[in-house]
Amino acid sequence: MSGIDRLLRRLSLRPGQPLAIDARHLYILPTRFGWLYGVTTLLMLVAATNYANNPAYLLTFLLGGIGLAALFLTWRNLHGLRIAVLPPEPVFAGQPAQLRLRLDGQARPGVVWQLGEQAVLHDLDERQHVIQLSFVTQRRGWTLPGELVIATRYPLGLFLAWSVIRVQAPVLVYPRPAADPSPGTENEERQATGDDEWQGLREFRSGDSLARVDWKGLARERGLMTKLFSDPERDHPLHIDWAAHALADTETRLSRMTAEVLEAARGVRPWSLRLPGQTLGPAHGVAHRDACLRALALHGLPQEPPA
Amino acid sequence: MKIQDPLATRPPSPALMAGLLATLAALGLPHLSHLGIWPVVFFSGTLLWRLAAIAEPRILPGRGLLITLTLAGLGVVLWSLPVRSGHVAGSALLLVMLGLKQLESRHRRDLYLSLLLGHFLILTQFLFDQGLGFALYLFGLALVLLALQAGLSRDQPQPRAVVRSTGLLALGAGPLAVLLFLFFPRLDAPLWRIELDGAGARTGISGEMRLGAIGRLARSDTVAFRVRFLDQTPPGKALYWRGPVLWHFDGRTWWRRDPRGRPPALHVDPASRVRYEITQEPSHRRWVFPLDLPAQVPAPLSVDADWQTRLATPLHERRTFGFASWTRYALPVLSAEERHAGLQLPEAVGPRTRALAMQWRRAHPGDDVGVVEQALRFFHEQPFLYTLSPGVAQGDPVEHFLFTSRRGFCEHYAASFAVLMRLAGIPARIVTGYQGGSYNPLADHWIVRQSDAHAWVEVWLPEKGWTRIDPTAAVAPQRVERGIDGAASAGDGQVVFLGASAGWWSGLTREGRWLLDAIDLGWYRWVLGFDTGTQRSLLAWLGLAQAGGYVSALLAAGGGMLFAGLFWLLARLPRRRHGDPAQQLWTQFRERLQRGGLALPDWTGPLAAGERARARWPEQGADIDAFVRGYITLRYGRTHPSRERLRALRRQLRRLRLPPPAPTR
Repeated sequence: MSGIDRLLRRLSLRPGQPLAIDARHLYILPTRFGWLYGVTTLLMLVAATNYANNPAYLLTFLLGGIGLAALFLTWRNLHGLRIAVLPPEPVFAGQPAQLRLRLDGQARPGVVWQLGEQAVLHDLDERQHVIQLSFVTQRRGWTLPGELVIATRYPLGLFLAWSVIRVQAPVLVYPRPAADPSPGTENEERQATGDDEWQGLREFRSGDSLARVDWKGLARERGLMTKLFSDPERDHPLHIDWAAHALADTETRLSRMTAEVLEAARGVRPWSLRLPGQTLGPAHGVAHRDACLRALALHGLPQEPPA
Repeated sequence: MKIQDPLATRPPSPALMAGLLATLAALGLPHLSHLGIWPVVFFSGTLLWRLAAIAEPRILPGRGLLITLTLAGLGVVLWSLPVRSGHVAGSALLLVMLGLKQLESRHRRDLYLSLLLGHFLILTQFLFDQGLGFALYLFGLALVLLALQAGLSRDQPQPRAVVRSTGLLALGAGPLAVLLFLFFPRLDAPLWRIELDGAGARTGISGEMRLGAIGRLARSDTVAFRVRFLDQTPPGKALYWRGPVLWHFDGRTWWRRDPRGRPPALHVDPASRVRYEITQEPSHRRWVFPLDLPAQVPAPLSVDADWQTRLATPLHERRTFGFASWTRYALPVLSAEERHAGLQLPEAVGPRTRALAMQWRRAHPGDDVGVVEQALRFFHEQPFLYTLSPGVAQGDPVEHFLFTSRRGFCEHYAASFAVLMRLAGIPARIVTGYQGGSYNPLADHWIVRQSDAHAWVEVWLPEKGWTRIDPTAAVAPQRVERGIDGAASAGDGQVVFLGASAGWWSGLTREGRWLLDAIDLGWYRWVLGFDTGTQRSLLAWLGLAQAGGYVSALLAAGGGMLFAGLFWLLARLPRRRHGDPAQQLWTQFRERLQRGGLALPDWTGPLAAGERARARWPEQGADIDAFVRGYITLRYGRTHPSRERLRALRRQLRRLRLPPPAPTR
């Protein structure tokens, strides 16, 4: 099929623009079993002719007619199938990205969804379906899922009808977070040390470190309290700086900075991200984290998703 | 890009596999009567093995054992069957290999080949038996194979859905199959010749008469042939179906001569001309039995000087011939050869027989008709008994019959009568064939069975020529008027002739037999008997008299394209949305509102829609309200909507009258 592959027309599927598979984009060919079925039917015709056996003729013609009817049913099983793609969620490079497709509620048994090497088969019934397909991401930046093939061999496996769809739903791929703790940064979690200034006590809240519980106070039946120390750097923002990774290459730098951003987002201190020509923050929160990850993902790459 | 089939390498579900094995067993077992026991035993064994392997896949044979088994299967076929009859060995080989294929099936894709071979197995069954019941059975199994195949292309085959799509396929394919059947070009001669040897029992009139032979036939209910009269039907008494004519008698056996030349001159009554069709069952002989006397016989048949009708080759399959006959005729010519043969007698004729004939001759000197009448009176007045089991004759069978036993059936009467005539100097010959038949009112045809086999005599009288005399009629006139079909044999073989008041039971069974016979003949006439000849007459009827295979092919192709077009249109029809029946009713309600002039946006909820409708049709307010509330209960209620409540909702909708807006001026 690879020879004619280039000649096939493709549909483009974009988020917010549902499409229906039309006749111009729907292809059909006999399967290997379909060819075998044809050859067998011909052999049966020869046998029926030779023995002038009318029930055999009838059986042969019935099988032939059913083959032909199957051609239409196979084609019809995909024709008019309406698909919408949901905007994909960003992922980190190396993780599988999820492509989610929403279908109209029409009964279509035995439909194969193939994205890359992964293929799943579903019997679609009248309910609305969301098909989820995953694909592996390698590099940061905007990534397209590639070509989706929707195929069916329903009802008899004699014919394969298929349609190729270029899925134009770009996924934002963040850099792969570095696994090793990055050396030479000021982003290590500080333990409470003697240098910290005693500030007082407050009620224990869930999530407080057990190391800071005022155990003596608890023993004196003053209730569960947490000791507060003032961190000299607490109010000073954390700086995640491109310049601090001067020795590594660009991707390694970005990878480490990603890990740092994730680390910082887990902490309580605000942080800022400095990239050449761009500074974000200091701030904290999920929105800031996502903005930082996006900046890291698209560093040196086109900012807008490919159309 | 390779499009994968996620199902191909999955193991088949136990239900699917068991279904396939059961279907194959049902397909293969009838071969027991065609191929003998061993191939079927081998086949069943492999199926059972595979069945057990559904629960315990480890018992499936490995490669080495599979090869051994294949060789064993080949051995079974070669050892148990004659190789020279190709279709027998071929069918057995297919059966054995299909069984072995099951032991090799581990994935769903392996099942496809088994399904195809299953269809081929059906075809091999048709080579041995084409009866209607069997054909229906096999076509049913073909549909089951297709349903299994339909199950293979789904993830979770639901039986109902699979049956539905198979039915849809079969319905779509049916018309095309019929068109192709009618118009696909046929061949007159086989592509290669393998003798389909249907030897079996050779029933029918043999062209010889050894006393006792017809008696066995008379008990057989097998259909000899069927007759359809095209215009007038002659009376039952005239239904003499003429077969081989016997001349030579050696004291025990009568046999034919080989007459030379064409049929001699004759006088006929043109008004007695009858046109009819005979559908002859395969007799494996050359005889055909037209109504006495055949005026016209169709091409492959020929008539000789004894008015015997024959085919050039023995008849191995059912065929239909169109005839015309005269029932009133005279055969005035008696050649010297015929006179000689018609007076031939065996060396030893019983003295009492000879004396009886001489006595009649002396009583009617020069009056042959008088002798004939005297003989018939003799049979009528003496205590002769018509019976199918006359017992074995000791010594001279004619003498034994005439003076000792006086029990016999047609051939005894005919043979003794002919001998008596010849002794009295009157040329006589025996005609064998059938007499009578039973009328099937459902199919409007006559059925002549082997039990209607008969023998009668023709004597040559100077004034009338060859004249039919049926001495059996003198003893048992019912035999001639009603035929043996209406007769039940009593314990000792005596025949009891049943009158019209035969009782409701025999009437019922007779009608049942008629119905089955009508269906069977229909199957034969429209399906099995369809051949190049029928096809040509169909084309002629369609006004394509000169059409050859070329036009036939065009017609078939045109039909195919017509079918394709229809199916294409069908495929483009918008799909009906299935789903919640309550919601379907709601959609109908919305459509009614729209027709009434109230178009509501898609997102209008049921309560709001009901309110708008009530505002528009205040008089129907209560009905609208009832429907809306019923719908809400059914659609959003806690319980699954019951059939009764759905039906009630449907009724409410039907009752609803929403008059369209009055035309504005």
